[in-house]
Amino acid sequence: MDERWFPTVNEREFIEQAFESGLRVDGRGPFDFRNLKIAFGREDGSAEVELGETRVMGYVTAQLVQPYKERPNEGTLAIFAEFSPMADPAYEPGRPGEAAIELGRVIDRGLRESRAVDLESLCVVAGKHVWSLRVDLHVLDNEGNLIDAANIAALAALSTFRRPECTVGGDDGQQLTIHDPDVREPLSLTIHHLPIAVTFAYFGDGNIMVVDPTFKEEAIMGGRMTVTVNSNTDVCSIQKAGGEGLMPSVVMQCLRIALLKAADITNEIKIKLSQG
Amino acid sequence: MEHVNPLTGFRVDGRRPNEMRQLRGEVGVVSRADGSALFEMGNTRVIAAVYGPREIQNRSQQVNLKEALVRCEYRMAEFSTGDRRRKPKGDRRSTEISLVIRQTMEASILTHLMPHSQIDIFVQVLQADGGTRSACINAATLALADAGIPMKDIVTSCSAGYLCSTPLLDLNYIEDSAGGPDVTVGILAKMDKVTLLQMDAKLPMDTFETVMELATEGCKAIATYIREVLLENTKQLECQRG
Amino acid sequence: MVGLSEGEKHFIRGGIAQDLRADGRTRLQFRAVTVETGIIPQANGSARVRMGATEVIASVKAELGKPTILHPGKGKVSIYVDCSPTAAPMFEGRGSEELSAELSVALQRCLLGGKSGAGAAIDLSSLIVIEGKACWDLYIDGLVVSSDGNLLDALAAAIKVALSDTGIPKVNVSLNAETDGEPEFDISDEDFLQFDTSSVPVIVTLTKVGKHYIVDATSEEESQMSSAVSVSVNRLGQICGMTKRGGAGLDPSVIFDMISVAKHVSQRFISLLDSEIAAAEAADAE
Repeated sequence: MDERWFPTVNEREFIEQAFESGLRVDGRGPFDFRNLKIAFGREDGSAEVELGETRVMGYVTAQLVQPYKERPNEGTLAIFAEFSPMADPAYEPGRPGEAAIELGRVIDRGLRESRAVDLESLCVVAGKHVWSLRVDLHVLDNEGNLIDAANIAALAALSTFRRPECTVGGDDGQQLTIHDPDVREPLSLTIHHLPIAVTFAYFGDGNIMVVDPTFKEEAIMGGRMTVTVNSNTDVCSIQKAGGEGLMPSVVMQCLRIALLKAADITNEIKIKLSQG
Repeated sequence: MEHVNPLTGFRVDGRRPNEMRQLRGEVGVVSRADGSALFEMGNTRVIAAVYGPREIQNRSQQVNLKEALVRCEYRMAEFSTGDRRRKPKGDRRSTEISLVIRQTMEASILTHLMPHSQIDIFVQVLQADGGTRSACINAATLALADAGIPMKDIVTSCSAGYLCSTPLLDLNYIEDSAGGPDVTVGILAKMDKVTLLQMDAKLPMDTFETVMELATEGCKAIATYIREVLLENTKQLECQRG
Repeated sequence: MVGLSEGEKHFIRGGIAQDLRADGRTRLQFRAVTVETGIIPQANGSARVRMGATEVIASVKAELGKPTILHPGKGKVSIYVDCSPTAAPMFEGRGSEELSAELSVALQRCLLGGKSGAGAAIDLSSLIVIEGKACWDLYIDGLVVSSDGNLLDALAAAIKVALSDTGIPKVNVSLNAETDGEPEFDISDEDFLQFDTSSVPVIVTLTKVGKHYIVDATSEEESQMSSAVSVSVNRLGQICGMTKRGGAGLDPSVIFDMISVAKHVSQRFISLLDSEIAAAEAADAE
């Protein structure tokens, strides 16, 4: 049974007319992000992000595994997203639905393929032991724009995660000892850059764009595009699947806006990290 | 590995950087389906079959009664890739690509003309040599046209990348797995609008614009080819009618 | 699939009783068979078989592996069939699992013989590289692209043709003392060992509709069947395997009759396939 929330005709028209006057229902400008709050948990590698009323929690764990045959001296990073029914009655418990898989893969592409996290430093013994990082994202409250919020949660969690130090020794030089955090200080991850996801929702014929859509705006949007950029003006990943067509010039315009927004958010994250 | 030979400018398979692989499209390969097509881009080979519009099978999936429900499944054959890997059906990559193809085709199908019905698009990859996503979308367009399903415009797709400081059109598997960026673009041909845009790995913004433009040019070339195939098919049908 | 009306069902059954089927064939006549080899360049051998609107693809891939402890002198073969949703919408998601499993098991039974490997159509000992240490693992994958009945026969024919197209690369083994007795394999790109498929059987499915049996049923005719017997026969006329489907009971004399009919029909089918294989090989050689 589809428990999704459907907008009424009145709500749809209200939001659309507001756009035509250049206003958004919550008073923001079209390219303003909502309030961002990041809270860190007691353990290393856990963070909870609030973007407006959307809440996502990120949690990083690590395990020693055998590396892939093609990349014997690199660790691995995997992103898993879970949408709990607590966030939205449309989600069902159990296997992740399409939306959860799409979110996981978009963030995965932005973080892993852009080499934001240094995977070579996760190698302990080449070809035998590497650290495998797993980032679990739990959506606690869906008030729109899950991808951006989840991305920030993943970045915050990875920034505060520390892995135990391990040394190779023993008689044959192959024995691996993992040191307790009390004995030796655990190490943080090496993060080269922070890829920030900026999601655009567009309405009409692709001529009205807003950043960071709320839940209601998402329900009536014509299409969406998520752009992941970093503060070095690199484009890390783009995801636009279907929806209304866009002129290529509009795509480039969105990229430029995204670069500005990403710089702001990167600053905010860095400030919160240094405080937390 | 030298993906672009610095002396001759040729790629690993002998193409120039802005040269697409050989295209081949054939309509009506699965006779039992309402519409079907085979599409080849170099060594990538894909079959698409369309069943519909037909009665809704699962009432609970229907969201909007006034529009047709479009469903899509993407599958790879076990022998499609170089090393035979038992790909479990419904693994995350296949689910995402099914979602992407569905949303891309949905943007073009005039769903409001077929309420209370569903359209199933099934894509099966027979041989994968890079650019499977694009080949699937092109095959799906041909199959939908073969099934006579009304569409706003034909959707074509092509990929492009950036290796050895050169933008390359239509990556094959070797170039795709080289770790460089991969931009897949899908456009609505006549309206010249971008409906699918996916990118991974890092690219500075200006380079991205060049690569995206190259991919868009590739899409337009494919659109010309697809129109020829459809025209040829219609001529044959006309001859058969006598 | 669109259901059949009473009139259509009557027409099909009546036609079969009068030896004139809906598409003009007699009861024991096959549809036109087209065979293509080498369609999957990455595989060691491949084939596509079309019987009417049924289209299947079979591919054979060989990888180096270790033989089992029970049979150190034999290689391994595994057969797996997948029904693509392009053939029928009901094959999407997990809908094809049941049919795929049934087809895979039937093919394994016919081609691979018993548990001990006795009576296998393919000589498993020819797949061995080093006894007890290395052997070839053959992975035979079948894919049903379009379905209009008689999938089992088409798949068996495709596998037979694919095996005849398969080349197992020659392996040069060098035992290197440095690598702890782990042999090094040099897989040659040039020399290939062609498979001998003369003992690979074909499968002929006889579908009983009313009092008569037909060969190579379309899916409409299959929907009217009471039972079906699939017999696997090799070139020498020996029965290599048998499967009966369908709930209706069959008199034992009927089964014997069906087997002899299957043997007779299969000789024609085998010679047809052989000529197609020869034609394909000649075309390749050009």
